[in-house]
Amino acid sequence: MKSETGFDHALYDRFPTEARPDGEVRDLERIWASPKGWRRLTAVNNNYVGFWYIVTAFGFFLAAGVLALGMRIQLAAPMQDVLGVDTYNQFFTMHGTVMMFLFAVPAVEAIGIMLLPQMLAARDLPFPRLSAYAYWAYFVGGTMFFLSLFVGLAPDGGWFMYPPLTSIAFSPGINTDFWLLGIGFIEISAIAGAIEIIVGVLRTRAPGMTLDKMPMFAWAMLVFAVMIVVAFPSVILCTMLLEIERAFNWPFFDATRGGDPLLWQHLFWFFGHPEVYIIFIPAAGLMSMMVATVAQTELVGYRLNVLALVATGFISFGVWAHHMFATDMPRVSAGYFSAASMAVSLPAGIQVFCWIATLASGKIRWSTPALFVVGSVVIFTMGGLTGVMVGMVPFDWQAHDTYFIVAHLHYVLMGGMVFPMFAAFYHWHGMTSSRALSDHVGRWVFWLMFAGLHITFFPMHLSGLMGMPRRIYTYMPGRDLDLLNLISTIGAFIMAAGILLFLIDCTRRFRFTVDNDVGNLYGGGTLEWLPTGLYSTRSIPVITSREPLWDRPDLPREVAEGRYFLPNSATGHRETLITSPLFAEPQYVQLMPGPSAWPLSAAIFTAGFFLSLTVQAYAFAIFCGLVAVVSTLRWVWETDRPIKQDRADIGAGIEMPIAITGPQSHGWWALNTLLVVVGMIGFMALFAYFYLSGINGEVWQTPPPLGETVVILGVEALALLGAWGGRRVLALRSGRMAEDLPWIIQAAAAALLTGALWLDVTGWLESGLHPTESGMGATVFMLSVLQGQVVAVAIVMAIYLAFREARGIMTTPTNVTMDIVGRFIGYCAIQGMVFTLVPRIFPGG
Amino acid sequence: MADRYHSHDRLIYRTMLLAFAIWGGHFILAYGAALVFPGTATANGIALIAACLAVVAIGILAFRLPRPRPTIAFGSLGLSLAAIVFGTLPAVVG
Repeated sequence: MKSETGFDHALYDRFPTEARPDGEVRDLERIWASPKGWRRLTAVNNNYVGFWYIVTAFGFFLAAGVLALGMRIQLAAPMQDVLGVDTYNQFFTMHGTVMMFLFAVPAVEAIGIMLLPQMLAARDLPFPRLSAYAYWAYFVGGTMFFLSLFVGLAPDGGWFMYPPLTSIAFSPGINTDFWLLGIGFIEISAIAGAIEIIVGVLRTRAPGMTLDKMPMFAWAMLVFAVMIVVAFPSVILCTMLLEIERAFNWPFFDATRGGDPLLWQHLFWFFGHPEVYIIFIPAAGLMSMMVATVAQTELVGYRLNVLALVATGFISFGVWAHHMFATDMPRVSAGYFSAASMAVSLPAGIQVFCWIATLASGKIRWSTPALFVVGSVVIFTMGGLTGVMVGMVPFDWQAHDTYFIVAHLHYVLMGGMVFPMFAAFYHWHGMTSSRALSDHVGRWVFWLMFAGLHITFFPMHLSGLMGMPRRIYTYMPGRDLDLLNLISTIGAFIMAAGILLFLIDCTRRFRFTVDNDVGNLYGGGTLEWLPTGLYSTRSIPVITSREPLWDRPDLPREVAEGRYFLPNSATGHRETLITSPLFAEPQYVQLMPGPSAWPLSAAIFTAGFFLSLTVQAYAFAIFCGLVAVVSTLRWVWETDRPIKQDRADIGAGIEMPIAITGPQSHGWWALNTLLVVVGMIGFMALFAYFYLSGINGEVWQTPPPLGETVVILGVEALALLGAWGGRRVLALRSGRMAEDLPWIIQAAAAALLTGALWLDVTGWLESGLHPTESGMGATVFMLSVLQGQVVAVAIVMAIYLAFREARGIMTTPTNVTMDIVGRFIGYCAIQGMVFTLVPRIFPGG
Repeated sequence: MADRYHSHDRLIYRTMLLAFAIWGGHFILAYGAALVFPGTATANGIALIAACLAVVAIGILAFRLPRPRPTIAFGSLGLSLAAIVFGTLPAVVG
């Protein structure tokens, strides 16, 4: 039978097999056991990392909520002085930043890390140490960032940090640097999580779980992670640009020297608006699953929902400049963004109608999750409608920067993310707690939060339309704003009371467990409700429908008896089954790494590196950077560990290879995803170059001579050849030792890239261009900085390759590490060519 | 049967991605033109030409769908077409 990979689908008929011996379960428990005591911190299993992630994200939610209460107390009456103006500025900046960067995105990733392996019936996500690194980087970086508030160094320029307010001239302290370096670092963590999720969803699904049978949450997480990969590089770039402008006086945003403050807004909002959908989409995935369970019927319009998720993902990238209508954007440009802003409401509408139809077609059981689900539909719809209003340019001009916008964004984010999160917590807490939360208390939590939200934010529509600007620390009496603000403050405390009640109930009843959970409280039909341990499910079932537990009541027992794929440890190590991206056909067995302190060490020292940069302790920053690199290399050293066994029985006599290379391997997918991230940073840097050349073409100068350009391109082409040649030589040594030549070729390629970069930089300097003199100089040399970063990584990789060869673990004819290093160096060469060519061919004015 | 089902799936998801990629391409071209040639007839002309090309591409994708047309694939094309037409209006009204 023809298939995606050549796998014979008739083999699925061999399952369920006979029950397997119980001893195999004990083997699985031993192999997947987590360390005890303080060593628990080195655990990488998704059950632990996901739980820590959720708790930490919720902690930041509470902290940011307390800041909001502080602001509401200050605004409860006019002319109060509870918070001074500087403190108030820090409060609203930290509230927005923490909610967006330290709660919303991490909370969603946390739920993904927690739920996805079980939902897909994988043993774990494919790179558990990357998950652990992402978590620790987030925890350490986020905590240090938040603590800046207590020493008066918290950022105070608003959560979007517009220059010139945040340029060194107007914000000379290090408050802004905390934001720039802190957020840049935390985004690295988010991207690490996104790569994990993309590869996890596409490559570790249970056999037979085609794209069309994937749980909606997995679809949503796939779209979410792809959006992160495309959008987040933009914020990483713009934080780098502003930090470099502040530290080294490169004028990216200085209009007097050929820069432009609006460049920041373009780069920030290219990330910032998709961010809203990045937050909403996973919550929508959770909603889609919960409405089906609440109504105990299949989701109406599964494929329409998928269509809506994908459409939202695409169209959300065409709306960033609707945050800039009040700048001097040309009318036609504003029109494009206005049109896209309204168009994006179409797929959102599709989803809402599918949820309503599902609820209407089934019989609703009014539990706490059901209340939160229905409540979030109501709130999100209200926020969406005001979103369409502010999508219209003339209305936006009136409402821009007023409390109307504050009301709109809170309705959207609370309805689109916070309420679904609470619904999800109630719905899935049975997976991780040995005791159920009280449904009675849950109803109180819902009604307090629901009422509190409307009492807080509905009056803000009015105060905004009456002209109250946002981000002011007080207002004058006698302008009819007093009562509205007092009502908002009362509402905020009602909402806080609901959250406090939730915390009390959690303290009373929630008890974390990995093996004694209360289980499927609400009758969900997807795989996460199979009996599980730290190894996830005992065996990995063949999937034939979207709600297998509803369609096959015997499935939990059969899975627990080991009657499907991987009923034991086929290699004696931690492992999972890698399946094909479209139809989830089994492809090979992936060996997985176990607990390790290295991801923790890498995260701590990466955080130390960024913190040292913030306080300008450059020597300590270099030390931290070196330790972080060594820790990272030590962590990945164990992840490509050849074993003698090259094939494994994955159940029912079906044999699969172990650890392969090339396009079929999960490592290839992860590397390519990472290259998309790096490529997007480069793409946005080129956008900055073209943008500034269009705005300030008069400062653009003649490029270096063409002959020099040809030489640089030639050197980079040689490096590209080397990147391919190293792998080719290794392939020719099949059956023999790898010896030195393959890594020497890769090292030579990295050296060539260094030489090409040196030629490029010196060429521009000799042509009279300097990075501090003009927007052109800043952007051209920024391209060199970006190229320098990837070349530095390429050099480290080549040295790492040499060490692996010296220890005799470079397998022939193919090797995962060689494959990754070669491809990365090849990418560096191609990026170098583009960065060399573009500014020299398109010199603008 | 399984083959037909799988290739049907693949067609749906491929069409969906292509439909929105066409929208994305149209948006980038139209906005890019407005950025490079602000306030000129050239920018509007580029947007209109891009819209025509996008509509033709959507039409080709629709034409190539098997009969009866898969609802979701056809719906994706419709949604993308609506977004393209909507997104071209600023160039038409100037």
